[in-house]
This record gives sequence, C-alpha cells and structure tokens, in this order.
Amino acid sequence: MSNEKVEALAKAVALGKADAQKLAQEALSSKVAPEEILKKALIPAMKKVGEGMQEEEYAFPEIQSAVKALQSVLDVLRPAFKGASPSAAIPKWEGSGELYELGGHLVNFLDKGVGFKGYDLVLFFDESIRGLLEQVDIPCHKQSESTHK
Amino acid sequence: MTPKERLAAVDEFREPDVMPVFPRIMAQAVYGKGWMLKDISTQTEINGEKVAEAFLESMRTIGYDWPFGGYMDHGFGVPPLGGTLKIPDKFGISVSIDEPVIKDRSDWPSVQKKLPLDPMKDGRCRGTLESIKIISKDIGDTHPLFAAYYTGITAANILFRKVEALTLDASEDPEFVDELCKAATVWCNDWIRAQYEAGCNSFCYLGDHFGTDLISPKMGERFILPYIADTVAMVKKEFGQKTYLHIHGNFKGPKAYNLLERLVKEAGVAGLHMDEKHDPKWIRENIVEKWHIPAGIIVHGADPIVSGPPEKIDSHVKEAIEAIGQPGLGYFMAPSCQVLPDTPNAHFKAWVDATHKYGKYPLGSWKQA
Repeated sequence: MSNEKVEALAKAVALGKADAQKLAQEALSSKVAPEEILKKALIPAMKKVGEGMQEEEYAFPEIQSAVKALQSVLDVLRPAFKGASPSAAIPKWEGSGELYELGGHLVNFLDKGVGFKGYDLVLFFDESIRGLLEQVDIPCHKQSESTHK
Repeated sequence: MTPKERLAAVDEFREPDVMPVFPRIMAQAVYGKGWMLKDISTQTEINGEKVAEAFLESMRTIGYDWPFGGYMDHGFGVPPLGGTLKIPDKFGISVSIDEPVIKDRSDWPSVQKKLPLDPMKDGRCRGTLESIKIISKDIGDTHPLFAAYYTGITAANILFRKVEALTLDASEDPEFVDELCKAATVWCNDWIRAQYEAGCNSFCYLGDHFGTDLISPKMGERFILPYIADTVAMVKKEFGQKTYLHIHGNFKGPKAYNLLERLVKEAGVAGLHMDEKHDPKWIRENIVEKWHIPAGIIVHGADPIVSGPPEKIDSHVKEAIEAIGQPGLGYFMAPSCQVLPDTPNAHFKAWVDATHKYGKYPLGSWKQA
C-alpha cells in the first residue's frame, strides 16, 4: 500500500500535478517515513524530469510545474527535516526573479535530497558572460566572488 | 550587384557577387551612434528621425547589406494596453517589459476589451513607421528593407505576459495560452501590415525566442507552428513576400528537428537564421542541402566579435565560410543574439569586411585575388 502511495506521489511530482501535496500528506498519515518519500518519490520524480528533458518531452513549462509540485511536497516534509541546515559547500547564484527562485529550489533540493556538495557543481564563465555582466549589469555574482566555493 | 540583387541571388540559389551580411538588430545601431535607448525612446514615443539616422549611419559605416527599418523591441503595443516599459540606462539588449499587461490570468477579460490594438494608437509604433519611411526614401530600391516582428507565443510573451508566468500557463492552462497566442498574432500581423505600408520592400523577418530554449517541440507544434503559418500566409497573400525565421533553441534532436521541418514544409518559412548552437556545417547538411532553402551562418560563439581583435574576427569568419564548402549557394552571414549590442562598431565592421572578403563568389576565389 505504501509503495503505491509513493509511486503515485512520484508520478504526480514528475507530471507537476496539483494534488502532489495531498498525496504526500496521505503518505505521511500512512506512516511512510519522510526519508522514504524523499528518496523513493521525489528523487525518482526529478530523475524522470531529467529524462523527459533528454527525450525532448520536457522543457521549461513542465520543469516549472514539477518544481512547483516538488516544493509543495517539501513544504509538508520540512518539519521532519527541521534543524538540518543547507550545505555550506554549495555556491549560491544570487539574483532576483522567478528563474533564480526556480534555480534556488533545485539547488536546495539537490543539497538536501541527494547530498550534493559544492565540488559537484561547476559554473563556467566564458567571455560572453563577462561581457554581459559588464554591459547589462545583471544582478549576479561570479563564483569566485561567492562566499562559498 | 546591389544589395537587393545580392539577397535575391541568395534566395534563388544563384551566385551573388559576395555573401550578404544581416545587420545586428535591436539597439546596436543606437549604441553605435553614441546614444542610449532613453535618447530615442520613452514609454509612449520613439523618435523616428533619430532612429533612421542611427540605422542609416550603421549600415553605411559598418557596411551591412541592408538596414532595419527601425529599432524593433519588445515594447510595441504594451503601454496602450496598460503595461509599462523598462528603458535601460546602460547597454541593455533592448527596452523590456517592467509591468506586464497581464499580471494575473483574471486580468485577461479586461485586456480583451482593448483588443484589437491599432498600431497607429501607439506612439512608439508611429515613431518606428516614421523611421521606416525615412529609411525607405533614402535607400530607394537598391536595398532590401525587411518588415519584422514576433508571432505566436513569443508575441504573447512580449505583448501580455512575463516569460515565467507564461511558461507556467503553458503547462497549467494551455487553452489560456492559445487565446493569448491568437490575440498576439492578430496584433503581430497588423503591425507587420503597417510596416509594409510605410515602405518595407522585402521579406518579412520573424523572430521566435521561445523555440526549444523554453518549450518542448510538442508545445512548439501548438504555440509556435500555427501562428507562424498564419503570418507567413498573410505576408504572402497581401504583400507577395516570403518570410524568413530566426528561432532560438537546439534543433538537433529528432523531435526538435521535426518541428523545424514542419515550420519549413507546412508553415512555409522560406529561409532560416538559427542560433549559435548550430554551426555552419550543421546548417549546410541539415537545412540548405536537405530542404533547399537559404540560411544564415554565424561565426561560432559570440566571443570573437564581442572581444575582437579584428584579426581574430577575420580568421573566424574565414573558418565559418570555408565550412560551407563549394559552391556555397543559399547562404547569408547573420549575427548571433549573443553578440551584445554595445560591441564596438569596429568589430562589426571587421566581421562584415571579412565576410565580403572570404565570401566573394565563386567561394575560394579570394585566394587568387
């Protein structure tokens, strides 16, 4: 029974369904451990999203919906992870706007869910981005200027 | 050959004298003149005389084969519908949207009451039409003068809705996005009609910055393909002109490539200008030789043109032209959107000069010169 709930939740998150949070609450009520939800539903769901991108089925709209569903589930799981602070080893890309927020959600998820550390994430700055920073004054910091490396 | 004859030769797969060069659009000509966008645009007006001066001077000093009729940005139609524009103080790519026309989906019924939108009721459109008239009169019939704008979901983004909201709409409420695309394409077509009536004498140049950068090929079939087909048909029927498309995204995957093929074979796109993800060899093998339509090539990456020096630009252009091989018919040189508008005029000039040098036909004949 709990496997079915976890699988349904994974599918709901991967497809960006609005009922993902309800399914997560039901799973918790059925005594499914938060860690199990994270590892058997959310991480496979995000893997599915990645596969969807590789197969040209998913792009920004589908990712947005999936991340929105993921966030709604993380909201109900958050009390279970209270006290676990995000890794200091993840470089933060600072900025404003929903695109940055989306990136922030994904980084936090990778940090918390998969245990990625800073050395897993490589940011490249080529000449054109340097030019962009100089000319357009995009509100972001280079990795080398980040407090975390 | 005049530049107009040169473009016609490319379009008909005949030998031009030299490969023509498509200008860097948007703010480049304005910055090249030493002005900022606030010097030519406000929320409600564009100074057509200044824009025409900048674009004509850009064409002549840099050596482009044609000018754009005006400074085309993402703000047309927005202020009359209640949105506001962000006019950059520094070197932004273009004017962008500050407050969108539709902040929430519930705003749509009230916006619909203001449609269809007459381009002549937007002072920025009137200024641009004035620029087209001045440029058209100046260049006569020797240079092509394209009409240009965006259609489908790109037009819906520009006219109505910020990109993050619109892409979420596409996933959660696609019927709503259908409505926005339809209304925005009606506006696009009217805006293009006005440009032809003001003096544009050549192809229509459509831009699509969603492509596969932002949406999947499946969504592209719904939110891009039918609207491009609609505008292509209108331009052909009412003005007897072809439409070229500049589209963003990686089209090398099978589903994306199928969308591109449908844009050509079903929608009737007559020429393509892909982004920097597609090198000249890919363009040759997958577009020009396969579908027998003209296409733009770009030097790989933006860096050589942005950073120079001219000698490096020269060698990159040489490499790009050599990659298309001989006889090399059906190509024009085109800019990458990653080439920032504030790039020095000298770099653009080096790019154009190198194209005219290494793009002398028959290709390769520069070696004997």
